[in-house]
Amino acid sequence: MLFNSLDFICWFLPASLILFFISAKISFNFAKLTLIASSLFFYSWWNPAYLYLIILSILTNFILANYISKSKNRLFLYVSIFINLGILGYYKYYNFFIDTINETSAFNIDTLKIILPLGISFFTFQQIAYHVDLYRNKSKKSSIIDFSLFVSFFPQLIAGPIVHNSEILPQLCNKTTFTFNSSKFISGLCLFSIGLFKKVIIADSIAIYSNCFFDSVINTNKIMFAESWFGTTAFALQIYFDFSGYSDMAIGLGLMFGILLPINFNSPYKAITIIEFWKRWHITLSRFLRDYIYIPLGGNRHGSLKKYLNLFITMILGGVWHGASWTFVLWGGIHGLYLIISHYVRSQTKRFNVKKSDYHNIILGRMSVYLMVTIAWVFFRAENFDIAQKIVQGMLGFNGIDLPRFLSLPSDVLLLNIVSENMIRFNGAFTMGIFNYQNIPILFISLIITYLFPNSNLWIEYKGEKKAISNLYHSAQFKSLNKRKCFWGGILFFISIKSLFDDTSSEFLYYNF
Amino acid sequence: MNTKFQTFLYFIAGSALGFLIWSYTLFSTEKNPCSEAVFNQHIIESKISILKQAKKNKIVVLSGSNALFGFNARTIEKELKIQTINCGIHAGFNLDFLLWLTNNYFTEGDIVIMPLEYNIYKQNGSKPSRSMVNIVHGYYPKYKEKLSFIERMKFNLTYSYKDFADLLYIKYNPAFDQKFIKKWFINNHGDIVNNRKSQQSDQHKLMLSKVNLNKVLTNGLDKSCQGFTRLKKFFHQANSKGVKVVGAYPNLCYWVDYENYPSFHETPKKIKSFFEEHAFGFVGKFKDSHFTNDYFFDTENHLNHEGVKIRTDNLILNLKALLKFDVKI
Repeated sequence: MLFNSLDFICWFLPASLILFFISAKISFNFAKLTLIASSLFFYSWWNPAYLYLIILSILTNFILANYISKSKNRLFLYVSIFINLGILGYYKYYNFFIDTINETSAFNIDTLKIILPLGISFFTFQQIAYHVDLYRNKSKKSSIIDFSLFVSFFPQLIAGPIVHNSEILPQLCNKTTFTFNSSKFISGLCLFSIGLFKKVIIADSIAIYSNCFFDSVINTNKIMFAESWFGTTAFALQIYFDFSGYSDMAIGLGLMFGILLPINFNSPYKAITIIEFWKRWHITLSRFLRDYIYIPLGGNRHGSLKKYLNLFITMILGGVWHGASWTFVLWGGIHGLYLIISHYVRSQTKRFNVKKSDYHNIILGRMSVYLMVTIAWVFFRAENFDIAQKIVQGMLGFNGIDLPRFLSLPSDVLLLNIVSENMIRFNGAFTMGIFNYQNIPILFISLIITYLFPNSNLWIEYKGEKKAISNLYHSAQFKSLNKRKCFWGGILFFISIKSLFDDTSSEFLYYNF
Repeated sequence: MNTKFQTFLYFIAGSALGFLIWSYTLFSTEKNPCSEAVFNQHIIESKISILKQAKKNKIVVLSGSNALFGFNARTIEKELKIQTINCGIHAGFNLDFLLWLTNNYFTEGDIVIMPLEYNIYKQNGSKPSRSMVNIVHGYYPKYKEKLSFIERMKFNLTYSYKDFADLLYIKYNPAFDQKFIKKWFINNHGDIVNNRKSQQSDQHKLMLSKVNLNKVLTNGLDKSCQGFTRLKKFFHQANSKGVKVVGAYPNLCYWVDYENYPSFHETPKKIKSFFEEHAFGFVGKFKDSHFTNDYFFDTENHLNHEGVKIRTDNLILNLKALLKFDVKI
């Protein structure tokens, strides 16, 4: 069941909310059990056969958590990591591993028909992190009910945010969490509406262009300059609106049930360095990679060279987490290199005292981040290296640059035209027939929303950082949204819901990871 | 009133206002068609005008576009000496709407052959297709009067933003001429004639070269599907008017992959037994409706000129047998 489906919005969500608040009136634990049941039902809707997997995963991890908590024996932690990564490895990486062996050797091992269980990367990581924290004494052992709810809570189950036990488990122990709070509910509803709007109106509209582009590349020999930038920009915007829309919906749903989830996006394309980009994009994954991979590898504790190496390894693993393919490995590697360069440049700019806040630095920074990230997205989206290579060649102008006819000037006016015979042509920007000038406005509007509009967390005044979560939660400082914002939230809700009637729901991109 | 409750009311008010604006703008643009509706109305108009002028004791092939691109009514008429009309319209319209458009023109002694597309049997009235919503909004708003309030609301919400923008563009752009919207040439028997293989584009060839399995044939049908219920009602009406209804299989772009699905053979059997049980009969074998992709024109439902010839000759033989003509093989 997708958050952006009529089944979910019209039936599952209202029914689970009503059941939850009725059971909360009866008893605190009964409310949790109801929420677990709703979450498992939600999961089984996709493929009932895999319900056993998540239940088995929860039970096994709960038993292991008991042993780790009691004995503090490192062996149990290793067993936990081995089992969790073993299951993830089997479902997500087995065929990739076999394919790689077959391609690089004379072997011909059969691959298996495996369907990747939904959300496996997310709930596996959450449970490993819980065990590590128990071992490090950073977390307390919870009851089976709390643990089950922490893992299976449906708003974050399929595609995050990757919640940390210290953010959720304390909330599950506080009885006021499940008392109906109208401020939280209405904020959640508005945030859900914004997320829905981002997904069904913006991301799905742009998806038409990006899918059309990446599908056409397979049958095209030379990708031209404008088309390649147009197609990859479409994907850069699609993945941002798709995933940030999903995260908004997840956080909004959490709020409706009274549970505060951490924010996952903070206008990443507004970052002026790649370091900042990763502090704004998929924040909870970056946090996980930092706390459970980068820091255990040594972090920045053993000099610059080791730090850069650790960064690179972390980003490669981040790439592999996204999918079992060499293109994801390369995507992670590219971002690793970007981060190394970015850290090096930062150390140099500190030395020369360059001010980050200068207006032109901000513009230059944002442009460079956009260019670097968009080029890297090619490897993330392309099915294989050949396709990625074709697109990057087009983006770098290897196949010439076609410009609109109206830019053409008499040949003796511009020096540019000396080059133009081979390199720059004035045949019209879109010569491949994939796009046309009418497609430009939607991308332009999406770019304006990305760069000039406040992000949804700011709009609903939600600060989902760890400390802010506990403050908001414990002191009930959750601000009520003003009437104007609620009104706009309602309008966005209608616009998005209406769109679901005329279109079939499309999957979120991160459902595949 | 509690302030927090008021904010919730504002949210509801926002949604309600959105709904009202949408409903009003849609209501005020009724009978203004978008380009897709203009295209489909051209087909409907041609068929209805032929039906209006037709005499008694005629043969009507009624279905979606698989019949439009599946049979040649002129050849059937020539062979059987019975006036024949190709009333293939569009599979995106649901059965109820197809019958609402045509049922009044069927009179005693008529034979209605229905090679309905498999998805027509499954069609869910509560979620009308985009083509159906566009045509009803642009030309037949009266059809909505027979729908319940909820169905009407769903109908209005199904009108897409894209088509709405297109509609406004057509309505308020004085330079736009509807005549420029692509139209097919349809002869006075309702047949389409510009489906020659030579007119097939590279894009169509590429599209038809990919395996595309019909979901109804792979997933199966049960007799509770809305199409069956609506058909039973039609059979009853037809019977009382003295109209004979005959079932047939639609064209199928055959891929060997179909054989992996048990419902591929079960579904056609269900359809055949349904017609044999409730209607006048059923013509044709399932295998005879199979064609390789070479015989298709632009989509996997539309046969090219050669495909139409084979299918029409086959139907003529089957009809002769059914109507107890002197069959010479």
